Amino acid sequence: MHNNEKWKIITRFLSNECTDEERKQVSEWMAKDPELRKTIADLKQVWNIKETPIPADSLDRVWHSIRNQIEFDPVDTPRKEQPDYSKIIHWSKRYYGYVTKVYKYAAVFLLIILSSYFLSHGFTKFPWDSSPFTAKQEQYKTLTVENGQRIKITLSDGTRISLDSGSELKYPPTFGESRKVYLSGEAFFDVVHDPDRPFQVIANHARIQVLGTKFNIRAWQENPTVSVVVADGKVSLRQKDVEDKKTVIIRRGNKSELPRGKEPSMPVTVEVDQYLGWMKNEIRFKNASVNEVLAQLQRWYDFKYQVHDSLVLNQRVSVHIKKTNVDDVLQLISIITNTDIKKHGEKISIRQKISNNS
Amino acid sequence: MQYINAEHIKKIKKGDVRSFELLFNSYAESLLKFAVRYVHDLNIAEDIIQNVFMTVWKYRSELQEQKNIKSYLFTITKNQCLKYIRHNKVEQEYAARELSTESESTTPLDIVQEKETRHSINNAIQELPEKCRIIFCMNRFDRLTYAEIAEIQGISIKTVETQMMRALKYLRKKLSHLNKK
Repeated sequence: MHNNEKWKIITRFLSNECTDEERKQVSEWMAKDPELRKTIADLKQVWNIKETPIPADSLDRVWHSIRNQIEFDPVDTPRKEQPDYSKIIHWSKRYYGYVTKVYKYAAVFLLIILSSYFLSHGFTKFPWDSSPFTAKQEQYKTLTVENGQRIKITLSDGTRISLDSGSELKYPPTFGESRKVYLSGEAFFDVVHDPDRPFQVIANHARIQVLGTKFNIRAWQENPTVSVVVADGKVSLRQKDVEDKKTVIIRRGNKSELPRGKEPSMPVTVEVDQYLGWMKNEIRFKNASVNEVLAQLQRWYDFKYQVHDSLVLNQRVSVHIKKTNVDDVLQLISIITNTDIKKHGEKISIRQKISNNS
Repeated sequence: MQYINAEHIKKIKKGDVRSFELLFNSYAESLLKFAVRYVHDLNIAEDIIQNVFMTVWKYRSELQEQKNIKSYLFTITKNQCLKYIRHNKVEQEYAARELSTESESTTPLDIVQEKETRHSINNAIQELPEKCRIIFCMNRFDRLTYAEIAEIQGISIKTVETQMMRALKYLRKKLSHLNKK
């Protein structure tokens, strides 16, 4: 028999594609030729080698996304849409009526994301993100909101985004087969429903898969933890890298935190309206560092500040700030941190009260 | 693993999510691995698989009970992967990644003989020419028959055979090198 034909049969034999006759034939060859027998045994090992396994939670993640999209599709599950509707309205009225007025029945997500110092580097290059169908990097546009400003933008798919002072958004002029944007800062998203193109937000080290329509994101550089609060519906949160396995699904009224390089925390119930405050020009800090508070004020009022005692910055404070007169706000900060705050034009200097020093 | 039968397909056509989940559980893992071979990135492959199943769901009314759903799923996945590759320069990324894994692979752990062999075989498989590699993996890892591969790839069974033989020849050569060491 021609050698080629012989190996074709052996290949078929190895691949379970051969006939009974061919199988018999191969057995005969092997019986006659110990060398061939050894080769085939070795090849059998190759043929039966196991493929590198995929992370166990990978499929769960995919199924979750699919499942949620099916759930949200009003055409497919009209029965489910109705009760959800009333629940949302009911819930919304209790906790943040003003959002309900604006956004009716649509799911509202609130994602509060406080990003790390690395963000500023991360936003200039996106080598770490490689998702399908996204427009090429250079096609992304960057929108930067100056301090003291607020901007509203409508994306190509009709999605509307309100951005707070000091935020940065990267978005493609037109969306391809998927929708993905990058945010640093704080924004409210009103995402147009499109089950074929899930909406993803990449914020620093976090990947947030939006399973519904509306949500709010906050991503500042002074905090290394991404924290996500969901006002309504569901979102998934995970490290954007493949290696980081755990994903949490955060349901409405819950919050989860994702420190850089670690797993997201178990979602806990929070008072969601506290995290929506910025849209009403007020913000609540709970056990936050003075550094975080000042960073927020700096963006709102566009001032520069100098702190003479760095210990002040690490001090923990809980404070409810309304965006009013800058002097009133600074006075409040001065009182709770026990510091002297002086304003020279746009520059602000912060000093520990003298009594603490010798 | 439970296999999908005509009854399940009928239910999916009527919008039964549970049957659809069964379909997902039966094939998603194979499809995900299959997609990774094309795009070389798990994240991307995940998105592709999501798209595939969303497409199936969207057009579920057109599913045909008597047709091989497995081939159908693999075909859509393949097409989505190729579409992705056309839009992106996967090749360059892959080349860069291969370099990085190469430097990683010289850890003391790899000295363990069996692991090394497995590693070498996997490497050898990766070295196969693209078309050959994908066909080989479809047969070996996804347990697809020559006929199924031919259908999905839109090629003749004869071509599948030729590619499988090509893989065998190459791997045999690699293996003999390995044994000599």
